[in-house]
Amino acid sequence: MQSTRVVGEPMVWLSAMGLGIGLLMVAALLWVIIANGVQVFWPKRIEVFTLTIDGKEQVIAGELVKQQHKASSVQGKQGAEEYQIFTGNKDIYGQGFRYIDVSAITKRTMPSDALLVERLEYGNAIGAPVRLVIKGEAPISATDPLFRSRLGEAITEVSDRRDAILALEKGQIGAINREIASLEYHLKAVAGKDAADEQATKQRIADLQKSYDVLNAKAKELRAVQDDDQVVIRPYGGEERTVSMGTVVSTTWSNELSLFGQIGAFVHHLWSFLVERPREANTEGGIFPAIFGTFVMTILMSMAVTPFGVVTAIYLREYARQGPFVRAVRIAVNNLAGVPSIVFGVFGLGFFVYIVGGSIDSLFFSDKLPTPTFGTGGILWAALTLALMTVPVVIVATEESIAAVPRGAKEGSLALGASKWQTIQRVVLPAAIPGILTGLILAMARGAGEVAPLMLVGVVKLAPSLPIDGIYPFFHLDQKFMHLGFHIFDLGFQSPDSEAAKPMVFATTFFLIALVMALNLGAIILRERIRRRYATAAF
Amino acid sequence: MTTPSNTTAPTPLAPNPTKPVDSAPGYLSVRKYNFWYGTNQTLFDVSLEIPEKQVTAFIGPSGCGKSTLLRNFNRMNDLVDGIRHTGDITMAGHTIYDPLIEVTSLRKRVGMVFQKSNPFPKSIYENVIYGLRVGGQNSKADLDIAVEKGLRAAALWDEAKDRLNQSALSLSGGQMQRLCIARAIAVEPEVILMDEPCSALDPIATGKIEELILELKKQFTVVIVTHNMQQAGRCSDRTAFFYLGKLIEYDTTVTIFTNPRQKQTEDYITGRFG
Amino acid sequence: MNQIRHFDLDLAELKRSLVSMGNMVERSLSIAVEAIIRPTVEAREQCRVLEEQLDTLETAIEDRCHQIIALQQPMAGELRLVIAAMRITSDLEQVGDLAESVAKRASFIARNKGAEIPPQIETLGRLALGMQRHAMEAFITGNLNLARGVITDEDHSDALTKQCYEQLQGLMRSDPDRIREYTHLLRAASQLEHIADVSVSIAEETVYIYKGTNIRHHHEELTGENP
Repeated sequence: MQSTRVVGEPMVWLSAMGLGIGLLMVAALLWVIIANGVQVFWPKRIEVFTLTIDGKEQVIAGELVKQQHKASSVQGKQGAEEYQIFTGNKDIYGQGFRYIDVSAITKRTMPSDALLVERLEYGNAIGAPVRLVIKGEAPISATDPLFRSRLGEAITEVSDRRDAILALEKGQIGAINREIASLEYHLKAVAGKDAADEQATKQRIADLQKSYDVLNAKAKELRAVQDDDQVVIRPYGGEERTVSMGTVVSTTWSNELSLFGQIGAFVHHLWSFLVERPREANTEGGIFPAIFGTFVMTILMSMAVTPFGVVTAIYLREYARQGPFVRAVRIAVNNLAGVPSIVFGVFGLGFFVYIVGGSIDSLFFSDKLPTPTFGTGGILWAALTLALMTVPVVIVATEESIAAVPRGAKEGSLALGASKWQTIQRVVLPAAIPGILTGLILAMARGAGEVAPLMLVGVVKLAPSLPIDGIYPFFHLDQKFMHLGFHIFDLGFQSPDSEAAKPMVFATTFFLIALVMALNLGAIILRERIRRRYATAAF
Repeated sequence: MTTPSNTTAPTPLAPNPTKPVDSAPGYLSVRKYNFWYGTNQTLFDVSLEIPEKQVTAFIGPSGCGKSTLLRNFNRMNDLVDGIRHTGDITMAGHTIYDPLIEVTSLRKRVGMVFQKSNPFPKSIYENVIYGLRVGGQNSKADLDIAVEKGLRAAALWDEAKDRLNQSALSLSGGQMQRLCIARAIAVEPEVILMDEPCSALDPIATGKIEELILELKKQFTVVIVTHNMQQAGRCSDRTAFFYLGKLIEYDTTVTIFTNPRQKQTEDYITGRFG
Repeated sequence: MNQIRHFDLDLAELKRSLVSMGNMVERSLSIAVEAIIRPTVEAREQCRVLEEQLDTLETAIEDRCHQIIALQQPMAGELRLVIAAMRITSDLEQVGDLAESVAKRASFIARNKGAEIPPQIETLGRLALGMQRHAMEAFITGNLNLARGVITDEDHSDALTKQCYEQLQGLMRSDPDRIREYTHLLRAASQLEHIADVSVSIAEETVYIYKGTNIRHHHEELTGENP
């Protein structure tokens, strides 16, 4: 009986297994990140634990975050289960998280009126609401049916006023400041030369200073009003505390939320994580500036790397005489891809920041010296450094796709009287675009994820403003920026409150992956569109 | 002797076609041409005159140099490194190797159709006018006229006029080759070179292109390389037989196929080798 | 799909040439037949001129057929047409030759008056002319009935020729001074019969073109009767 087994079939199974293991690992990675990161946003119930330790009773209230097994430090003795509780009220306790032994719990309740107050300072406060004190009105007790609606109104009022203060300070006052600053530079330039101009400038500065004072006073006034109202809560196991309404961002009755309400709160938390600025040394608030900074830097990097890489590849493949020199260049380019990224950071610092940036400063911004404009790290230098790092990928991908354009197409074009450049421009490049985009995708994936070189050329922990905003000249390429990768590093290793930062690390990682995937997806869709248009069926 | 008045002259047939080929200067003139790829010589002392507005066929076994010579007429071999030649090729009396004249302008006067049709991955319209665009013509009105003219001349207008904006790759193989011919015609060359244009096509498509060639010769000088002798017999006015880089015999097609002078030619025609 | 090819035009032109050669032959034969019935002197010269043109045409058509076979490799019906054309052109040239000869004899008789011309010669001449006309018409139109008619007429022409011979032999015995004229008439009758035979040959070629069968020695395939 002849063997019915197909020769080589085990190899098929082996390869399938290899693929399966790879996919499993990717899925596991994503699952760990998602599970750990997303749980930050899901609103948890507030529980009140009564513990008995050494006969003494203690009340701890908060959200149950984690359950773990604590190994015993004494040999032979079994370890104990413990809970990690987020207690909030950092202004009272000094820290936001506590560990409690499960065995010490004697009572465990979930009061329905437990209130979670999100604040601008000291994080969240947890406690039972007592009363609401509005200036000029009688205090409203928590049991009063009007309490909740009035609280909501107060929060809205405070939030609007906060926006107004921001507009005032960032907008109007900021504009005056900038004008004064530029006038002072102007003054420096004309000092002693043009008396009339000097005089007019000094007058203008004085006028502006007056307006500044007026607006400043107004802002201060508004800030004072923010503290007019307070809400009084009593943390479980503690004394009554007064919380100024000006610091309140939102309030949630955690234990009253239905599933629908929980989902709503989840979406709300997720959303504010994405669009808000960070607070409390990056442990609270949102990561919007980091997302925006990463996005802008990646786009800038792509804009820099694509023309440079494509042009180089065209020259290497089409124009250069194929000899030992070109081969040496190719080897050098390929080796460039293996250089550690921190080396690029050092190169970027030395070349872009000091040499090029310094020259630009002395040529165009000499009046601002010794404050460097371009002579220090910034988003432009970071993008260029990363572009340099990822250019080998683009060159190789472009060269391969140019080589894959069939000879018939090039010959056909030349036979019609097109010059070599016209052939490249009209026939070769359009057909090679899918390959170039593949190179770009790889470059973006690598560039968006690198952190080490960025630390030297322009990334900061907290940037005062975005690299692109509404202030002229709108694109601030000299500014430092925030980056998701660096944000993760900062949260994970340089955060004062590492427990609070842990879930944020996972959440930020998740969004970094999501951002890179979104960029890649965009490029892939573009590539598919172009590929369909140029489907080469009959070459 | 006088012709009686009640007799009328008969319908004239083709004149007796067995007169030897005259050596009057042709439109394309090859003079003592030798050609090397690196150290490998592929053409040996070739001289022939290609007449204007006629079809000249190059036949011979594989590797005999016919394609090499054809590709030198529009200097496509310039793309290869290490080529060398002695002797000259002239068109209308002027050498094609003039260093003062751009190769691209030569290629606009001498068009080429390749063995494997190579339409660009663009629309039919854009394919036909490609040569005009690279030449700088961009007026839509002129281009529209050129497209219709080119497609009509290639017998493709009726099939393509409603799908000008569709991809050229949606055509059948024979249609694609006619599109390549239309593309070559649109540039209004003087000479059209065809390198085994039908070898990748089925007999019906081949027949259509052969009919087309017989029409094209009214406007263009056509030089066609074919390894199918019968095709040379059907389409061409003159035939040149090459063997191992040498021109063995060059005469009117009728003579080559009915009464060749060289034994090698006869052996090839009757299929004894090659 | 059925567009006209350049080759189709070539074949049409070939056919036209044959038709025009046939017309010329018919004219020559007509002159010769009239001359043998009522002898004239001019007939000889007229036929001679036509014969020269016929020779040129025959060479041209033959060469054209060679060229078509060498260059175009015709198949099926087209191949049969070209092969038959070569034979028909030779046949027509032969008829022209024979007609010229008859005209020559007629002009001799015209110069030496007094010979009596048997009426069968006229019948034979007209029959031969008719068969030639019909054979050419069958070629042009493909009317195989016409071709069949020509083939069956061969017996009639044979019989008529025999009668001519008997008559002329009688005349020769009764009028020995005019033996030369009567010998010419004998030869003319023989040549007219030959013309009839060639017309049959043309009819056979026509059947070959249109039906594809070679009935040269198998007339029963067309006529359904034994020869």
